[in-house]
Amino acid sequence: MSRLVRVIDMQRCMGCRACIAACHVENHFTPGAPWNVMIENEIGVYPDVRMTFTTMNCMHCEDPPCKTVCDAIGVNAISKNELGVVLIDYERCIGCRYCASVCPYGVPQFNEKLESLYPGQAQTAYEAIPDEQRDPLHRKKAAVVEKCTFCWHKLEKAVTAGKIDRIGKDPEYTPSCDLVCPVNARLFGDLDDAQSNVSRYIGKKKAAQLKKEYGTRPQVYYVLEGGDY
Amino acid sequence: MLRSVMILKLVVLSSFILSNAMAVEAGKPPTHRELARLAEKIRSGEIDVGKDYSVNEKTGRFHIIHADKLMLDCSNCHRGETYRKDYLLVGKDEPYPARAKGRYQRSVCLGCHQRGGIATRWYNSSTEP
Repeated sequence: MSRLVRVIDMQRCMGCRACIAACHVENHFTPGAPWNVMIENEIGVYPDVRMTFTTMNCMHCEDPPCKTVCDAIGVNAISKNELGVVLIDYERCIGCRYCASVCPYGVPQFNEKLESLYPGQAQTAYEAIPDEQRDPLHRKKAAVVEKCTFCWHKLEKAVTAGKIDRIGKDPEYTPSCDLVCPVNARLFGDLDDAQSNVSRYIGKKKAAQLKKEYGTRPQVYYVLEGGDY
Repeated sequence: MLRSVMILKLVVLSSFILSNAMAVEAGKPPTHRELARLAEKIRSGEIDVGKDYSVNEKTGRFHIIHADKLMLDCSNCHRGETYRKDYLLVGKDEPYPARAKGRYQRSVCLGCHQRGGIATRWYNSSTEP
């Protein structure tokens, strides 16, 4: 069994936003509903100040409160699959935003209306790709909630090809945001494999999950400034 | 004469104190047990909170449950226009809606919605393996 996790090294991240751009391109970004964002924070006291950069996407929690609440009201639009990826079914979502309100990380994004990338102009060729040619997770709809899928459309190919062991190693089976980091601040792989790059990195750098007090057991780990808290 | 006036003053004063105490008693926040009982009635459907699953609308279940039935004050959850500087939340920098009461910290939800809390459980306890 695989447990896919991401590690983000905040000590290495320099805030270039390549991961965010890659996500926007790969996942058909629609304004107002980003799947990957960067939070900048200034720390220290003048003259000893610097910036920290925290990229945040879905944590794909092992106990996702978004799924719990969605199931509790009988909508059942959120699922967690065999590789631990939390996905939203746009056809079932009723846009109530309960998931967004309970997520400690504010991940689910309500797509109020589908806006063009360039307001007032015609859609780009990229935006005009018809739904039937898109992966179901990229068939954007207004008035539903969407979020990061760990690039499930790529991971699914590995599952279909029987190459789960290549996830995080082959670019075609690895989330795009993790591929483009110029300073290797992002890793993706199987935590259940003790020899995987993520397992070793988490152990070596004492990477930790964010907001552990919620007990959601996120599958995204951070090498935090100053270590675990 | 002086004694009668003193007694009268005492009676007026004590009745004023007593009425104030009763007012505080009536307006005091519900106890943990009372809230738990109320939450159970909402869950069981004994108290009708409607079928409109919406967070933002005042007419939606979310605000009916928390504001109307549980009588939580707006300021219990909505805490001003900005989040803490180091608060990690994806929508942190979204524009502040003009009619909104204020941003809300997710930590407020933890008190009731964690395992062992009075409300429906959305979160496990942090020590859970």
